[in-house]
Amino acid sequence: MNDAQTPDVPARFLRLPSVAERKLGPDFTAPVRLDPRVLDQMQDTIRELTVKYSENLKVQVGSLFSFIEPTAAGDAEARNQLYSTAHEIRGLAGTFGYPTVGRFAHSLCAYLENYKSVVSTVMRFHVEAMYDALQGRGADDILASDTLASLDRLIALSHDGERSAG
Amino acid sequence: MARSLFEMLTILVVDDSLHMRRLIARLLDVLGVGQVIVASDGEEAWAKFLEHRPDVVITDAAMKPTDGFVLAQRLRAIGEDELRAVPIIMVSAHSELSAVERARDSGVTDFICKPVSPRLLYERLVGALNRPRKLIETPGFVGPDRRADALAIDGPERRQVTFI
Repeated sequence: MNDAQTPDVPARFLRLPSVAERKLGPDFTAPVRLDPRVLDQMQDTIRELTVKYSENLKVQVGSLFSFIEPTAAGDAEARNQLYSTAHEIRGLAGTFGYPTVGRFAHSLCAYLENYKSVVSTVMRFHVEAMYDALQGRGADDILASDTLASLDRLIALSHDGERSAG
Repeated sequence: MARSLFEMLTILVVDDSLHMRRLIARLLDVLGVGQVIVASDGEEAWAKFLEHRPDVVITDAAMKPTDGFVLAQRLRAIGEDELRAVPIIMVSAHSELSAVERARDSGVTDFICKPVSPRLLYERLVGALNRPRKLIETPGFVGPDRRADALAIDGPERRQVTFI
């Protein structure tokens, strides 16, 4: 689009100093590099919180099993519960040292986002993969990638010829 | 020096997950942030924002009843310039382009895909603190001015151009 075609849109520009400058005066900037000692403390904090999170994650993954059949039968509330629990796991598990569980949860969320009608076998395989990874089985990166590829094939087979909702 | 800046900060953390709220709040504590306020959805966050007037908002995207996108739009619509220009960092497990675009269109300053790492959180926070708060307001959009010339790069790392 050239200038002649550009529509006139009223615009106001607001320019305020940075938060750092407002707090500590002109030209102040916070250091971009994180002090390694502070980083260590932050990692320690995550390790400390991991104990509590791990217990919660086991309960969450266990609870997913109970939502599978109702979700496959079309129960919207069960589907919401399944999705929101899996969504929380995909957001948190990686931070707390369970990246593989997070990857399987991400795959399950994507399945629920993309298909209106969902199959219990697909959901069960996802949850079982999460459960196994939580137990330390199949948590290896290569094995996890293989499992994810298998889950993709299972989804394709289960929904052969069906268009995804997404 | 950085520690004294963090001590002066009030940061609002919004997430419907108790674990995520606790995690981010604790990491901010370690950084020395003076006051960390938490809220579990956009509605509670809105009330706490008006009460505490935080320097930065770190918010999840998907929450009920009011999500992070609506919260960002409400914050950008506040009448007072100082409040409206608050840096908003969205932290979300939704890594799809559509979610990032929606965040941008809602006036979000920066976007972090979960899982969160301490280093990433620090880098985005410092970026939000150091960057001049430049907003552009049009009838359909209020949010950070993202034009190239708005991203002032100064200091020794600025690339020097030599004409020969």
